Amino acid sequence: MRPWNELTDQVQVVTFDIFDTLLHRKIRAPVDLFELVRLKAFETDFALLHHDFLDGYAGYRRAAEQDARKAQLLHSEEGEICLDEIFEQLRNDHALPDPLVDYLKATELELEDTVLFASPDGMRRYDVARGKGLQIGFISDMYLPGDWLSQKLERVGFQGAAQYPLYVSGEHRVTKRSGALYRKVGAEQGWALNDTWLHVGDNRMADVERGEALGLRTTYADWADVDNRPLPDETAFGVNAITAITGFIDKRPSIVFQPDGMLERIGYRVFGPLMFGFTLWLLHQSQQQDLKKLLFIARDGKLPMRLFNRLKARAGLADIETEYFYMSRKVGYLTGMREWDSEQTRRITIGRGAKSARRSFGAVGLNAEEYREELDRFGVEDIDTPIAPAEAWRVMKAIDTAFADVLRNNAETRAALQPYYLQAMEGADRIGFVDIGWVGNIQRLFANSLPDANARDRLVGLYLGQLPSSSFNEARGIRMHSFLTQGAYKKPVQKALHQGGIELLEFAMTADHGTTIDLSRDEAGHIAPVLETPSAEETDYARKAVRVQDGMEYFLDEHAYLLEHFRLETLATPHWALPLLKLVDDPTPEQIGALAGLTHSDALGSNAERLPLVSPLSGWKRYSPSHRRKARRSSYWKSAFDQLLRRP
Amino acid sequence: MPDFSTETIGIVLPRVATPALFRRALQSIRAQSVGDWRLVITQSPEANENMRRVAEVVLSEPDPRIAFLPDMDVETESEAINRALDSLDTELAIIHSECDSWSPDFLAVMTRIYDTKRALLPGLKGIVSGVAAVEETVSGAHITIDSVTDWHPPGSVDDLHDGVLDIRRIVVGNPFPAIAFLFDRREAREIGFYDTTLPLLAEWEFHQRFCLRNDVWVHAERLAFHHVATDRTDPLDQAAYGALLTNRWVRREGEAGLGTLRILQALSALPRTSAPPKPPRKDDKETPKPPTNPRTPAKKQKGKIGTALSKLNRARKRWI
Repeated sequence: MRPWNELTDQVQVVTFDIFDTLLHRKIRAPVDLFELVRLKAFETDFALLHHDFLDGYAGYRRAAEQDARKAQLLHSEEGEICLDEIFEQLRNDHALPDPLVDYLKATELELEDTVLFASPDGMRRYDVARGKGLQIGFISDMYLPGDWLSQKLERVGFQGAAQYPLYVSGEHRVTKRSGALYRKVGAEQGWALNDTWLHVGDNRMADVERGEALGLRTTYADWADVDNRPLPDETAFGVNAITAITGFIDKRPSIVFQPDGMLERIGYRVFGPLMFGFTLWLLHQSQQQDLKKLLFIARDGKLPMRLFNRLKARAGLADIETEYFYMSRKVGYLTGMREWDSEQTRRITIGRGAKSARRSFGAVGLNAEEYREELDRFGVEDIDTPIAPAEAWRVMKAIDTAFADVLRNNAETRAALQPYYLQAMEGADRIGFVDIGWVGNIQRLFANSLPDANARDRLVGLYLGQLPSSSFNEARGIRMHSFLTQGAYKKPVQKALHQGGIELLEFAMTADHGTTIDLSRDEAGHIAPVLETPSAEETDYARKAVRVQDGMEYFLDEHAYLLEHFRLETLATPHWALPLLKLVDDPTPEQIGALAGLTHSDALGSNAERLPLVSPLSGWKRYSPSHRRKARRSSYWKSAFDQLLRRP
Repeated sequence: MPDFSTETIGIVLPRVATPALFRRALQSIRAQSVGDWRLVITQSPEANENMRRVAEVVLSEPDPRIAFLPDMDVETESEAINRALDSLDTELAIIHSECDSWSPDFLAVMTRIYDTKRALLPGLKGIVSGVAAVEETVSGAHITIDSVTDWHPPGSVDDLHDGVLDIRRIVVGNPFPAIAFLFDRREAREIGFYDTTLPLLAEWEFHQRFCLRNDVWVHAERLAFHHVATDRTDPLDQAAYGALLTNRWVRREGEAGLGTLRILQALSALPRTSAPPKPPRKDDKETPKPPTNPRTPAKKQKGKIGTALSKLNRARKRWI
C-alpha cells in the first residue's frame, strides 16, 4: 500500500477501471455468465418452445455481441455498443419473441449482479483515494448501463461511488482503448491529461499504455486474473455452468473466499464442490421422493447431516427431520444376517490387508477358538496369524460351515436389540438412509435388523457413490440411489473410486469419533452404541479430516446463494465432482504433500490397522521394478504414487 | 386328525430316517421367529426305534403345534406328503424334509413378503426363497458341514431373481427344492398334491403343475438350506431322468399332431441355460479360487531372512 499512498500524494484525480479492478466475478471467465443464463433459461417454459436456440445460447450470445459491434461500426468509429443493442441483435438473428429476449436480458443482469463482488485490493485503493479527498471517477470499456454499474458499486461497498462520474464506452461510443474516452472524461470533468491524473486498470493496453500515451500516470491492477476464452462445447448438460463456478476457485480473486491452511484449502477447492453438490442432491431427492426424515449413518454421515441442516431452510425444506444413527458393518453383522450367501461371507473375510481367523470370525459374532476343527479342515492352523488375502478363502469356507450358528446368534441378538433400530424408523413412512455408499451393505443389514421384512421398502438409500457389487443388495430389494455414479459419470467415477477415490472420500468425510463396535443394553433396557476408542493415529487422522471439513463448509456457505437463483433439480448434478476426479487422476504436488501420508483402514469394525494411501518407496527401491510394482499395488492412490515416483 | 386354524402355516415333515437330521429339522422349525405354524410328521413316534428315541429326547416337552399322523403300512413318500397336506387346514403349506433347514427368519420373511405381493398380484399362490446348498457328512449323531455354496437350479448357472417366477424355468429343471417353497395349500389340493404314480421326480412334477396353474413369487434371499450328503450321489438325478416329465407333458396332448409338434418346437427353442452373466462379484479385491485340497496349509509369510534369501536366489538366477 505504500506505493499507492505515495502515488496518490502526487495526484489530484484518480480514475478506476471497473471490471477486474474494482469488481470481480465469481465465475471462471466473464463469458461464462452466458452459461449460467442458459442453465436458468432451461428452468422455464421457454425451453419447451425454443429448445434448440437455448441449447446453443452461450455461443449465440457471444456472436450477437460481435455482430452488434460490427453493425455499430457503420454508425460510429469504434463500434461500441450497449446491452440493449446486443439483445436487439440476438432477437433479429434468431427471430425471437419479445418475452424471451426480455427474460434473457433481465436474467443476465440478475446473474451479473449476483456474481459480482468487490475486489479487496481495489477497495483499499478506492478508500485511500477517497480518504484523501481526491477527485474520483470510473471509466470502463463496457456494454452494461452506467447507472446500473454505479448503483452496483455502491451496493458492494464502494461508499459514495454513485456520486462520482462514471463513463462506460457503450453509452459514449468511444473507448479507453483508442484514448478517446479519456479525452472525453477529461474535457467533461475539467481534468487535465497529465500526471496529476492517476488511472488504475487491469488492461495493459487500454488502461496502462493508452493512459500513459496521453500523459496520465497509470497503475496496473495486477490482482486481476482474467482469461475470457469460452469453454468448449459441453459434453453433458450443465457441465459448463458448473465449471464456470468451480473454475473460479483457480483464479486469484477467489483467494479472499478460501480459508487458510493447505488442508482447509483442499477442503474448499476439491471436496467443497462435491459435498455442496451432494447436499443439494440430498435436498432434491428428499423433495422428489417425499422423504420426511433422513437417517445419517455414522461415521461418514456426520458431515453430510451438518451440511444438510445448514441448507435445508434455504431450500424451503426446513421440516425434514434428520437423525444421526450410530451403526457400522460390524454392528450390522451381529443383527442383520438372516440369509447365507457366498458373496456375503466373502465381504466379511476380504480386505487389502491380512486378517486373522479370530478377527474374521469375530466379525460375525463367533469365537474362532470354538471352531478350530473347522478351521483346521481348511488349513488354518493358527487363529491369530494374519492370513494373506490370497488365502482368505480358507477362513471364508470355515465360516460357511458355521452358518447355522451365525444365523441363530443373529436372530437372538436381533430380538434383543430391535428397539434400537425401530426407534430410528419412527417419524416418517419413508426414510432416506444417507451414507457414503459403495455397496449398500449397512442398509441391508439395518433393514434385516427390523422385525418387518417389508421395512426395507420404507428405506431409500441415498449415497455419494455406488460400486457395481451393490447389485448384490439391489437383487435383495434394497433401494439405492447415488449422486456420483449416475449417467455418464458412472464409469469414470467408479474407476476413480478404485484409484484412491474411496480412501480420499472416507478421509474427508470421517467424523471425529470412533467407529461403532457394538450396542449395549443397560438394566433399564436402554440401548446405546459402543464406540471404539480411537488410537493416536486415528485421532490425528480425524483431526486432519476436520480441517478439510472446515474448508468444505466455507465453500457451502459461499455458494449457498445459488439456491436463490436456481432450482434444486438444476443444481443437483454430479458435475460438482469434477475437482475430485482431478484430485484422484492428476493431483498437484501440494495436494500430494498434504494427503499422501494419510493412512486408511479397511478392517471391519476397527480403525487400528491402517495402511498408507501411498506406499512410500525410497532409496534404491525406487529403481527396482519389482518393488515399484509391489508398492503401486499396495498404494490406494495410484496417480499420487506415480507422480511421486517421477520426481527426482 | 389335528384341528388346525386356517391362519397358520402348515409344515409337513414326511419321512424320518436319521435321528440327527430329524433333531436338526425340528430345531430349524422351532427356531422360527414366528410361532404361528403347525407341523405334521407322517410317522408316529412308535413307528421305529429311531423315531421313538428322538421323540423322547427332542420332544420331551409336548408341543401342541406338532402332530404325528398314524403309520401306514406301505406308503411312498409322495403318498405320505399328500396325506399330511390333506390333514392340514392351513392356508399355506410347505414340505420340510428331515435333511433340510431354514434360517430362523424364513417363515417370518416369506409370509410377510407373500402377503405384500399378493395384495398387488392376487393370482400369486406361492413364494420361493433363495437357497444355499449345504454339503455335509453324517456320522451317527454327528453332522459335519463340508461346504456351503449358493444353490442354483439344476441345468442353470443363473440364480432366481426377485420377481414372479418365469414359467419357462420349470421345464429345464426343478427350479427350487421343496424346502424353499411356501404354497397355497388349497391350490395344491386343486391340482391333486403330489403325483403318487411317479416313481421319481414327484417334487419337480408337483412344482411344474403348480406353477403352470399359478403365479409364484421369488424372494432371492437365501433363507432356505438344501442339505446334501457328500458320501452319496443323488438317485433322483434330474439330468438322467429329466426327460421323463417333458415326455409326459407332450403325451398329455394326445395323439401326435399339430399341437404336439408346436409344443416340441417350443421346447426345443428353450435355452438350455438361461444365463445372463452374473453381476461382478467384487470390485476391488479378487478372492482366489480354493485349490482342490483344502487341507493344504495356508502359505506362511516369509520372515526377513527368508525374504532376503529369496531375493539373493533370484539375483543369482538372473546373473546365471
